[in-house]
Amino acid sequence: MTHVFRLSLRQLLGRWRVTVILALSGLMIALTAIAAGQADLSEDAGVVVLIFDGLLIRALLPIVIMTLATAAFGNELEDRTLSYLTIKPVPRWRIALPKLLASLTVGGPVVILTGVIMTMIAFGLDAKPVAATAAALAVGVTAYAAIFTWAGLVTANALPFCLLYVFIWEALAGALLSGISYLSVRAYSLSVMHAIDDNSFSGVADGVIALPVAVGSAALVIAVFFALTVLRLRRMDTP
Amino acid sequence: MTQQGEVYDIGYQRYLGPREGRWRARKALWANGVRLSLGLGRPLLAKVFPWGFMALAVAISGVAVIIASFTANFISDADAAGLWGYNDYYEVISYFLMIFAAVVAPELLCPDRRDGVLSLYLVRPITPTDYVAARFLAFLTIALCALYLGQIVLIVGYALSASEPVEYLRNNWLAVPRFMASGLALTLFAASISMAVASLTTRRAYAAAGVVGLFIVSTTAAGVLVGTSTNAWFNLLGILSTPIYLNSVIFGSEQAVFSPPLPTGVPELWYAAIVGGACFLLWLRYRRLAA
Amino acid sequence: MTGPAIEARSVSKWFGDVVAVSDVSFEVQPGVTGLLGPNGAGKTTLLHVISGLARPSQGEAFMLGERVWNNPEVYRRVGFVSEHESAYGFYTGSQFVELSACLFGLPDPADAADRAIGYVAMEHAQSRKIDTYSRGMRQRIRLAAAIVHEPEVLLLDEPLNGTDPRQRVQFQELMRKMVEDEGRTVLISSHILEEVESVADRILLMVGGKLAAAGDFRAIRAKLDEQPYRVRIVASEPRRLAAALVRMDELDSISVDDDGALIALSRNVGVLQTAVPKSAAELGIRILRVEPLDESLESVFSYVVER
Repeated sequence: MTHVFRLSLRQLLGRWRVTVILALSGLMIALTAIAAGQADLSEDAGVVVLIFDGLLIRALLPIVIMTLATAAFGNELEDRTLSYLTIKPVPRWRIALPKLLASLTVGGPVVILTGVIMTMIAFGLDAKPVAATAAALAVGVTAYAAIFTWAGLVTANALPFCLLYVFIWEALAGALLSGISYLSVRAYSLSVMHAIDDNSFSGVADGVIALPVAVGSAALVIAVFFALTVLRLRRMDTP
Repeated sequence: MTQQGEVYDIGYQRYLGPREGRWRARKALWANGVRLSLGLGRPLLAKVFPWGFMALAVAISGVAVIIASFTANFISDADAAGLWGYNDYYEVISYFLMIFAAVVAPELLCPDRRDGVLSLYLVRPITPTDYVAARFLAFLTIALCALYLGQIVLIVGYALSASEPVEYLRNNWLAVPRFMASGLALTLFAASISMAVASLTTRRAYAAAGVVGLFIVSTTAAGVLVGTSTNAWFNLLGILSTPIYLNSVIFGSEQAVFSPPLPTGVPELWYAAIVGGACFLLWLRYRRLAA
Repeated sequence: MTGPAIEARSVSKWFGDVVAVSDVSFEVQPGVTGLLGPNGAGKTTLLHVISGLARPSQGEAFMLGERVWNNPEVYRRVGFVSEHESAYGFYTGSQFVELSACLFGLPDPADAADRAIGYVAMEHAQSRKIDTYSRGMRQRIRLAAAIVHEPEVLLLDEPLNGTDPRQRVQFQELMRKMVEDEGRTVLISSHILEEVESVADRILLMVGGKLAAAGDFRAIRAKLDEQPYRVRIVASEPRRLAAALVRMDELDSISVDDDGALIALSRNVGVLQTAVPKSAAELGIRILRVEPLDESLESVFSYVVER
């Protein structure tokens, strides 16, 4: 399993992909710093929502995980190398799991570290908001990685579809129909964030669901999409 | 038998028809681009976005008309002013136009380079500029068709639900040139940006993600900066802000897009700079690729 | 071991409306078997079904007595080289083969990789990245990755595409060694018999998704020779042309049908092909149409055989 993992890391750490991810992270941190220079963020709940919901959870988190996780299988499909993995006496979950873990290993630290830095810029060296951001992002990163890894295996052109899902389903539909909170990774993240530190992140209360429900749903999403990935690997014709 | 060779005439024929020039080639590229934009002759998945966009462009107008005719039995002239208008239509559709552009522009440019077809095109009597221009026009054709179709549904729908349809049209005819101009400004913007991004990579998925990513990141960044400061210049960061501004200028709407307002001419210049810059990048890329 | 090394039981595979493989059944015994047929005959699809990469739409494929679809364990004893030249280009040759050895669960992957690389004579380039390889080197390293676990059955899809004559000879020696010394089963697809005829004991001939012939290719040839080949010729003066053609030894018979077209029967199509236009030209007769009347297995066969 470690071989597929190492192979996947190697595939994901392409120069372009890493540059784009780091540039995005830098941009988000810079924007937070500019905003913090103009307003006291610990006082202004509205701006906190703009930054932590708008920038971090709605933009940086899905975009970074998307560029990585869709490529985990997408690259193999596009380069027609998937048969090197599937024609091996290896149970299919041992192909899917290292692919997922590789996306997490590359994307998780980047996203969580960026979030932590943004939190420290906004709220200073307070452990509570930092923990809230880190935990929220950990949930979001894993859930998105599971979904997008599956999408990358279903089609080599998963990226546009994933973008659509994130920015139509999670943003538009989530704003219109509150019931979608139960089916929205963004809502899981925000709920975790709000549950751990409802003082700093008081502004994100809209559409928040109970912590156990949020974490449980996220776990269910991860399990379901991982199972779908394994199933797809078993059922699909390798090109 | 002495060694000798012989070639028999077994009926091969030369092409004796007329040989048409560059315009024919340009037209063919354009027509092929239109087909690609619509996903014709491509699998179902490629048709989802273009046809979804077309349907949405009409559906939005349809819903607006239905709501209008339900709220008032007949639209009188007094109501007409308060209706969901032709400029509002563009503000809503512009987001979907960007998504459409993100999917279709790469479809028009990337596979030709990835599969090495571009060099085959360029041995025909056309230049890289011809090629890019034909693709660009193909995009404009389809996008404008969708937008104008939506506006036509809107104006016809409003006219039919007005108490005096002819009167309504007489009072609102100015909307037609306005929505044509504003639609052109919007599609020109979407086309140049998405085509420029698509010229940077041969992978469609990356290009699509690049366009949507640019759109999302610039919009949220502008949102944060505008929300925390009073500096109106930050508005210009939002990628769709200038076409939306032009839209409100063309429709002569009083509502301010930027508050506080920016100096006159600045948003217009910024719009021209973005479109011009993107087109220049596109031209530069293809000039270099062909060399 | 139970049953033949490879077995297809009425395998069909279709993609939407396109039937790529239609009701194909055969058994392959140890030794080298050539899977022949023109491009688009369904060879690759058939190999994908046999190797378990693709699920058969109907029927089943077996290797070494085990069902192949959804049975990764069978790959412990099977190697496959696809037609794509792609490989993980950022890996060096030895890293790539070693990855394969690891995934096959070999106890000493580095040692196994070394041996496989030696087998295909790629030691000199093993520490270079695959991206820098030539086509032939790529094929050899991919072969090494496929035989690193010393499989009993080896499936090769167009392995000789893009190789030069010297590499072809090397490859043929390699195949002979694998089969003769170690009693393996090798199935090689190709669209040219010449590529595999010196190593293949048997051939499977595919045409239009169907299995058209199987067995020793000389025997197939002989079978085909017994049947004359029918050609329909439409010409401006059919009877005068017939008179000229009937003098040929290779022509078995010639007749005129109701529409005034000639029906020629011959065991040697090649001669007929050149004789008809030549005679017509000499006599000043215009030929409007020449069409084969039989399902042209013969022509497929001659295409495959007489390159």
